Amino acid sequence: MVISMRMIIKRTYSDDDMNLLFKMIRKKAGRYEKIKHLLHIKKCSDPNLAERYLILTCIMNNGQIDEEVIIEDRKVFNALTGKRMEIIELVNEKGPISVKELAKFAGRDYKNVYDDIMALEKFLIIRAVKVGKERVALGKVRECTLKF
Amino acid sequence: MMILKIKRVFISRGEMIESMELYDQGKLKNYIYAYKVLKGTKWITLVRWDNVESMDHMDIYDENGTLINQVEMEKKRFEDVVKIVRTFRRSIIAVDISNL
Repeated sequence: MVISMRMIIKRTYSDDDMNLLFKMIRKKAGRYEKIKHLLHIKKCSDPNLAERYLILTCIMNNGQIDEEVIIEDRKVFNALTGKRMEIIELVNEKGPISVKELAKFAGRDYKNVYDDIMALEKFLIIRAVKVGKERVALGKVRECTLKF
Repeated sequence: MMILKIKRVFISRGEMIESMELYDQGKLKNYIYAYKVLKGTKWITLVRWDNVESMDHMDIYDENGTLINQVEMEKKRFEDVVKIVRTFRRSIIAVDISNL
């Protein structure tokens, strides 16, 4: 059976999200010039380098990041429970936000919130990055459309 | 103004294709189209088409992120990349897709 359902999620990144990405990339890969130099000599031997370069180039030029996620799988609805929708709302309202802080705001157990974040990330509904030892959710879901 | 447009297409749980297109004054400057799989908590790139710091080309990586092959080729449309990835999925690294 051909799947005709399509869920489209539109996410935007606030200044706080951009600052977090900037700091995270600087910490992991170093200064912009260093990344550019490494890209030039290493070419594509590190798959993350080019992505970090594009993100930093955009941020350093005061640009904006727009994201669209396309999901064509009915199983996505299994991932969207009430508690997980609350997590999406909390990330929208308070993000960027760590799993620890999310658990505190939601009044839930850390492990359960962490598992929910991972489940949502597997379906690309949430965007989370590792900052130090913490996992931080960022970006704001602005629109979620269902098309048939 | 510079805009980074990211498009993520869900393939299966823990599998996606990510497009990153950097536009400067409305003109496409750089692009990366990557097929990624989730390993633990990290998205690992298996195949990538891009023009960052070089000509249009395709890179193939193993599941540890080590570059195993690089082929120069013309820029592909993102829609075509999605079709190729949907056809081969995880076995893509074992298939010669340079002529597709």
